[in-house]
Amino acid sequence: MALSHRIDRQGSETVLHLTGDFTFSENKAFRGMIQDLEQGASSTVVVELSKVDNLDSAALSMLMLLKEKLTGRTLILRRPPEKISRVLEVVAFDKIFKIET
Amino acid sequence: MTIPDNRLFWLPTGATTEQVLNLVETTEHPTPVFAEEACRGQFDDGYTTHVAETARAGFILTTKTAWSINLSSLAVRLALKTGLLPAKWSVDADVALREAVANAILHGNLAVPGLTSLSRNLDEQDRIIGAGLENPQRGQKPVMVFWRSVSGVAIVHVLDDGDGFETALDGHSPISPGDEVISGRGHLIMKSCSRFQHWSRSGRTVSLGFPDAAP
Repeated sequence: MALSHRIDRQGSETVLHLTGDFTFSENKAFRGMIQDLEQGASSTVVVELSKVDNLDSAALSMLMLLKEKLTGRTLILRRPPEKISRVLEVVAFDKIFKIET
Repeated sequence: MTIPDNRLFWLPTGATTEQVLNLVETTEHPTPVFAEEACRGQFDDGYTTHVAETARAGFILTTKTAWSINLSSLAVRLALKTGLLPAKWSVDADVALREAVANAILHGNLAVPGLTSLSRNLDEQDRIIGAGLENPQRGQKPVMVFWRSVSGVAIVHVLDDGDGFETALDGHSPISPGDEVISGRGHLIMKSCSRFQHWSRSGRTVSLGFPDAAP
Protein backbone atom coordinates (compact mmCIF):
# COMPACT_ATOMS: atom_id res chain seq x y z
CA MET A 1 0.00 0.00 0.00
CA ALA A 2 1.50 3.32 -1.06
CA LEU A 3 2.50 5.78 1.62
CA SER A 4 0.18 8.69 2.26
CA HIS A 5 0.35 11.44 4.83
CA ARG A 6 -1.46 14.21 6.64
CA ILE A 7 0.08 17.00 8.68
CA ASP A 8 -1.73 18.41 11.73
CA ARG A 9 -0.53 21.27 13.86
CA GLN A 10 -1.75 20.69 17.42
CA GLY A 11 -0.53 23.28 19.93
CA SER A 12 3.22 23.00 20.23
CA GLU A 13 3.29 19.82 18.13
CA THR A 14 3.37 19.27 14.43
CA VAL A 15 2.14 15.74 13.75
CA LEU A 16 2.97 13.86 10.57
CA HIS A 17 0.43 11.03 10.22
CA LEU A 18 1.72 8.27 7.94
CA THR A 19 -0.40 5.49 6.40
CA GLY A 20 0.77 2.50 4.35
CA ASP A 21 4.18 1.07 3.53
CA PHE A 22 7.15 3.25 4.44
CA THR A 23 9.80 1.54 2.35
CA PHE A 24 12.43 2.14 -0.31
CA SER A 25 9.88 2.66 -3.05
CA GLU A 26 8.33 5.53 -1.07
CA ASN A 27 11.52 7.54 -0.59
CA LYS A 28 10.48 10.21 -3.03
CA ALA A 29 7.05 10.62 -1.42
CA PHE A 30 8.60 10.98 2.02
CA ARG A 31 11.06 13.60 0.82
CA GLY A 32 8.06 15.62 -0.33
CA MET A 33 6.60 15.25 3.14
CA ILE A 34 9.84 16.51 4.67
CA GLN A 35 9.55 19.63 2.54
CA ASP A 36 5.96 20.13 3.71
CA LEU A 37 7.06 19.65 7.31
CA GLU A 38 9.90 22.13 7.14
CA GLN A 39 7.43 24.89 6.40
CA GLY A 40 6.26 26.15 9.76
CA ALA A 41 7.03 23.09 11.84
CA SER A 42 6.54 23.49 15.58
CA SER A 43 9.24 23.00 18.20
CA THR A 44 8.13 19.38 18.49
CA VAL A 45 7.55 17.19 15.45
CA VAL A 46 5.77 13.86 15.89
CA VAL A 47 5.83 11.09 13.31
CA GLU A 48 2.66 9.07 13.94
CA LEU A 49 3.40 5.50 12.90
CA SER A 50 0.31 3.61 14.09
CA LYS A 51 -1.01 3.14 10.55
CA VAL A 52 2.30 2.18 8.95
CA ASP A 53 2.22 -1.45 7.78
CA ASN A 54 5.85 -1.98 6.82
CA LEU A 55 9.09 -0.10 7.29
CA ASP A 56 12.58 -0.90 6.02
CA SER A 57 16.14 0.36 6.29
CA ALA A 58 15.49 2.97 3.60
CA ALA A 59 12.73 4.43 5.75
CA LEU A 60 15.16 4.54 8.66
CA SER A 61 17.48 6.57 6.44
CA MET A 62 14.61 8.93 5.68
CA LEU A 63 13.94 9.37 9.39
CA MET A 64 17.63 10.15 9.94
CA LEU A 65 17.46 12.75 7.17
CA LEU A 66 14.35 14.22 8.76
CA LYS A 67 16.17 14.47 12.08
CA GLU A 68 19.02 16.26 10.33
CA LYS A 69 16.63 18.69 8.64
CA LEU A 70 14.86 19.46 11.92
CA THR A 71 17.97 20.09 13.99
CA GLY A 72 17.04 22.04 17.10
CA ARG A 73 13.52 20.64 17.25
CA THR A 74 12.34 17.62 19.22
CA LEU A 75 11.46 14.66 17.01
CA ILE A 76 9.20 11.90 18.36
CA LEU A 77 8.28 8.57 16.76
CA ARG A 78 4.83 7.71 18.10
CA ARG A 79 2.81 4.49 18.40
CA PRO A 80 4.76 2.11 16.14
CA PRO A 81 2.88 -1.18 15.56
CA GLU A 82 4.56 -4.47 16.53
CA LYS A 83 6.43 -5.05 13.28
CA ILE A 84 7.67 -1.46 13.14
CA SER A 85 8.68 -1.59 16.82
CA ARG A 86 10.78 -4.65 16.07
CA VAL A 87 12.72 -2.79 13.36
CA LEU A 88 13.26 0.23 15.61
CA GLU A 89 14.38 -2.09 18.40
CA VAL A 90 17.03 -3.98 16.44
CA VAL A 91 18.66 -0.79 15.18
CA ALA A 92 18.34 0.81 18.66
CA PHE A 93 16.56 3.91 17.37
CA ASP A 94 15.60 4.64 20.97
CA LYS A 95 19.18 5.90 21.36
CA ILE A 96 18.62 8.39 18.55
CA PHE A 97 14.92 9.30 18.77
CA LYS A 98 12.32 9.65 21.45
CA ILE A 99 9.88 6.78 20.87
CA GLU A 100 6.41 6.88 22.40
CA THR A 101 4.49 3.59 22.42
CA MET B 1 15.45 -25.10 -14.32
CA THR B 2 13.51 -28.26 -13.89
CA ILE B 3 10.73 -27.67 -11.42
CA PRO B 4 7.97 -30.19 -12.17
CA ASP B 5 5.08 -28.61 -14.02
CA ASN B 6 2.58 -29.63 -11.37
CA ARG B 7 4.42 -27.46 -8.81
CA LEU B 8 4.55 -24.37 -11.01
CA PHE B 9 1.78 -21.81 -10.86
CA TRP B 10 2.18 -19.15 -13.50
CA LEU B 11 1.48 -15.52 -12.73
CA PRO B 12 0.60 -12.98 -15.40
CA THR B 13 3.32 -10.46 -16.15
CA GLY B 14 2.94 -7.49 -13.85
CA ALA B 15 0.80 -9.34 -11.30
CA THR B 16 -0.37 -7.29 -8.31
CA THR B 17 0.06 -8.11 -4.62
CA GLU B 18 -3.65 -8.93 -4.38
CA GLN B 19 -3.51 -11.30 -7.36
CA VAL B 20 -0.51 -13.13 -5.97
CA LEU B 21 -1.97 -13.29 -2.47
CA ASN B 22 -5.20 -14.72 -3.83
CA LEU B 23 -3.29 -17.45 -5.64
CA VAL B 24 -1.18 -18.21 -2.55
CA GLU B 25 -4.27 -18.51 -0.40
CA THR B 26 -6.24 -20.69 -2.80
CA THR B 27 -3.52 -23.03 -4.04
CA GLU B 28 -3.73 -26.39 -2.30
CA HIS B 29 -0.47 -27.83 -3.60
CA PRO B 30 1.85 -28.58 -0.63
CA THR B 31 5.04 -27.35 -2.35
CA PRO B 32 4.05 -24.63 -4.82
CA VAL B 33 6.33 -22.32 -6.77
CA PHE B 34 4.75 -19.16 -8.17
CA ALA B 35 6.49 -17.91 -11.27
CA GLU B 36 5.92 -14.95 -13.54
CA GLU B 37 5.45 -15.78 -17.21
CA ALA B 38 8.23 -13.39 -18.20
CA CYS B 39 10.74 -15.48 -16.22
CA ARG B 40 10.30 -18.65 -18.28
CA GLY B 41 13.66 -20.03 -19.28
CA GLN B 42 15.75 -17.68 -17.14
CA PHE B 43 18.21 -18.80 -14.44
CA ASP B 44 19.74 -22.18 -14.98
CA ASP B 45 23.03 -22.31 -13.12
CA GLY B 46 23.64 -25.40 -10.99
CA TYR B 47 23.12 -23.81 -7.60
CA THR B 48 19.87 -22.16 -8.56
CA THR B 49 18.57 -25.37 -10.05
CA HIS B 50 19.45 -27.26 -6.88
CA VAL B 51 17.73 -24.71 -4.65
CA ALA B 52 14.66 -24.57 -6.87
CA GLU B 53 14.29 -28.32 -7.10
CA THR B 54 14.66 -28.88 -3.37
CA ALA B 55 12.56 -25.90 -2.29
CA ARG B 56 9.36 -26.39 -0.36
CA ALA B 57 7.83 -23.25 -1.88
CA GLY B 58 8.87 -20.08 -3.62
CA PHE B 59 8.53 -17.23 -6.07
CA ILE B 60 10.25 -16.39 -9.34
CA LEU B 61 9.45 -12.84 -10.44
CA THR B 62 10.88 -10.17 -12.65
CA THR B 63 12.66 -7.33 -10.89
CA LYS B 64 9.97 -4.92 -12.00
CA THR B 65 7.19 -6.98 -10.45
CA ALA B 66 9.19 -7.82 -7.32
CA TRP B 67 9.68 -4.06 -6.84
CA SER B 68 5.99 -3.27 -7.18
CA ILE B 69 4.50 -5.96 -4.92
CA ASN B 70 4.97 -6.78 -1.25
CA LEU B 71 7.14 -9.82 -1.93
CA SER B 72 8.51 -10.32 1.58
CA SER B 73 5.08 -10.43 3.22
CA LEU B 74 3.79 -12.74 0.48
CA ALA B 75 6.75 -15.07 0.95
CA VAL B 76 6.23 -15.19 4.70
CA ARG B 77 2.52 -15.86 4.18
CA LEU B 78 3.43 -18.72 1.84
CA ALA B 79 5.86 -20.22 4.37
CA LEU B 80 3.27 -20.02 7.13
CA LYS B 81 0.55 -21.51 4.95
CA THR B 82 2.70 -24.45 3.92
CA GLY B 83 3.54 -25.05 7.57
CA LEU B 84 7.26 -24.55 7.09
CA LEU B 85 7.85 -21.40 9.14
CA PRO B 86 6.81 -21.39 12.81
CA ALA B 87 4.43 -18.51 13.51
CA LYS B 88 6.76 -17.14 16.17
CA TRP B 89 9.14 -16.09 13.37
CA SER B 90 6.56 -14.34 11.21
CA VAL B 91 7.47 -10.77 12.17
CA ASP B 92 11.24 -11.25 12.13
CA ALA B 93 11.14 -13.22 8.88
CA ASP B 94 9.11 -10.49 7.19
CA VAL B 95 11.45 -7.77 8.44
CA ALA B 96 14.65 -9.62 7.48
CA LEU B 97 13.31 -10.81 4.15
CA ARG B 98 12.24 -7.26 3.24
CA GLU B 99 15.89 -6.19 3.44
CA ALA B 100 17.12 -9.21 1.50
CA VAL B 101 14.62 -8.63 -1.30
CA ALA B 102 15.41 -4.91 -1.46
CA ASN B 103 19.11 -5.73 -1.74
CA ALA B 104 18.49 -8.26 -4.49
CA ILE B 105 16.44 -5.78 -6.48
CA LEU B 106 18.40 -2.60 -5.93
CA HIS B 107 22.03 -3.49 -5.37
CA GLY B 108 21.76 -6.78 -7.28
CA ASN B 109 19.70 -6.66 -10.43
CA LEU B 110 19.45 -2.88 -10.81
CA ALA B 111 23.06 -2.19 -9.72
CA VAL B 112 22.00 0.87 -7.73
CA PRO B 113 24.93 2.26 -5.71
CA GLY B 114 24.50 2.91 -2.01
CA LEU B 115 23.66 6.39 -0.79
CA THR B 116 27.19 6.97 0.48
CA SER B 117 28.63 6.23 -2.97
CA LEU B 118 26.18 8.74 -4.42
CA SER B 119 27.14 11.44 -1.91
CA ARG B 120 23.63 11.08 -0.43
CA ASN B 121 22.10 12.28 -3.69
CA LEU B 122 18.62 10.75 -3.39
CA ASP B 123 17.42 12.25 -6.66
CA GLU B 124 20.23 10.50 -8.48
CA GLN B 125 19.39 7.25 -6.72
CA ASP B 126 15.74 7.60 -7.77
CA ARG B 127 16.83 8.26 -11.34
CA ILE B 128 19.01 5.14 -11.42
CA ILE B 129 16.21 2.99 -9.97
CA GLY B 130 13.67 4.31 -12.49
CA ALA B 131 16.03 3.80 -15.41
CA GLY B 132 16.89 0.30 -14.22
CA LEU B 133 13.27 -0.78 -13.88
CA GLU B 134 12.52 0.39 -17.40
CA ASN B 135 15.67 -1.16 -18.82
CA PRO B 136 14.62 -4.33 -20.71
CA GLN B 137 17.65 -6.26 -19.43
CA ARG B 138 17.79 -5.18 -15.79
CA GLY B 139 14.06 -4.77 -15.17
CA GLN B 140 13.35 -8.27 -16.48
CA LYS B 141 16.08 -10.02 -14.50
CA PRO B 142 14.57 -12.54 -12.09
CA VAL B 143 14.36 -12.25 -8.33
CA MET B 144 13.78 -15.60 -6.68
CA VAL B 145 12.69 -16.42 -3.14
CA PHE B 146 12.77 -20.08 -2.12
CA TRP B 147 11.97 -21.71 1.20
CA ARG B 148 13.64 -24.94 2.27
CA SER B 149 13.71 -26.95 5.47
CA VAL B 150 17.13 -28.26 6.43
CA SER B 151 17.73 -30.07 9.73
CA GLY B 152 14.86 -28.32 11.45
CA VAL B 153 15.74 -24.86 10.18
CA ALA B 154 13.52 -22.95 7.79
CA ILE B 155 15.87 -21.35 5.30
CA VAL B 156 14.84 -18.68 2.86
CA HIS B 157 17.11 -18.11 -0.11
CA VAL B 158 16.89 -14.82 -2.01
CA LEU B 159 18.62 -14.96 -5.37
CA ASP B 160 19.31 -12.24 -7.90
CA ASP B 161 21.09 -12.09 -11.23
CA GLY B 162 23.15 -8.99 -10.60
CA ASP B 163 26.88 -8.40 -10.60
CA GLY B 164 27.44 -9.78 -7.09
CA PHE B 165 29.56 -8.17 -4.40
CA GLU B 166 32.28 -8.89 -1.87
CA THR B 167 30.79 -11.40 0.57
CA ALA B 168 33.16 -10.67 3.43
CA LEU B 169 30.23 -9.18 5.37
CA ASP B 170 29.17 -12.69 6.41
CA GLY B 171 28.53 -12.70 10.13
CA HIS B 172 29.04 -9.06 10.99
CA SER B 173 27.46 -5.73 10.23
CA PRO B 174 29.40 -2.61 9.21
CA ILE B 175 27.43 -0.56 11.73
CA SER B 176 26.19 -1.13 15.26
CA PRO B 177 22.77 -0.54 16.81
CA GLY B 178 22.35 3.11 17.75
CA ASP B 179 24.97 4.44 15.34
CA GLU B 180 23.92 7.87 14.08
CA VAL B 181 24.62 7.18 10.43
CA ILE B 182 22.22 7.93 7.59
CA SER B 183 22.18 4.58 5.83
CA GLY B 184 23.49 1.02 5.94
CA ARG B 185 21.17 -0.66 8.45
CA GLY B 186 19.89 -3.39 6.12
CA HIS B 187 22.57 -5.89 7.05
CA LEU B 188 22.10 -5.18 10.75
CA ILE B 189 18.36 -5.86 10.42
CA MET B 190 18.92 -9.15 8.59
CA LYS B 191 21.48 -10.23 11.17
CA SER B 192 19.26 -9.33 14.12
CA CYS B 193 16.05 -10.84 12.76
CA SER B 194 17.33 -14.21 11.55
CA ARG B 195 19.37 -16.85 13.32
CA PHE B 196 21.98 -17.15 10.57
CA GLN B 197 22.90 -15.42 7.34
CA HIS B 198 25.02 -16.74 4.53
CA TRP B 199 25.99 -15.20 1.21
CA SER B 200 26.88 -17.33 -1.82
CA ARG B 201 27.09 -17.13 -5.63
CA SER B 202 29.52 -14.19 -5.19
CA GLY B 203 26.96 -12.22 -3.22
CA ARG B 204 24.02 -12.95 -5.53
CA THR B 205 22.30 -15.18 -2.98
CA VAL B 206 21.59 -14.57 0.67
CA SER B 207 20.21 -17.34 2.85
CA LEU B 208 18.52 -16.57 6.15
CA GLY B 209 17.73 -19.22 8.75
CA PHE B 210 14.87 -19.54 11.24
CA PRO B 211 15.02 -22.52 13.65
CA ASP B 212 12.31 -24.96 14.75
CA ALA B 213 10.92 -25.45 11.27
CA ALA B 214 8.55 -28.22 10.37
CA PRO B 215 10.45 -31.23 8.92
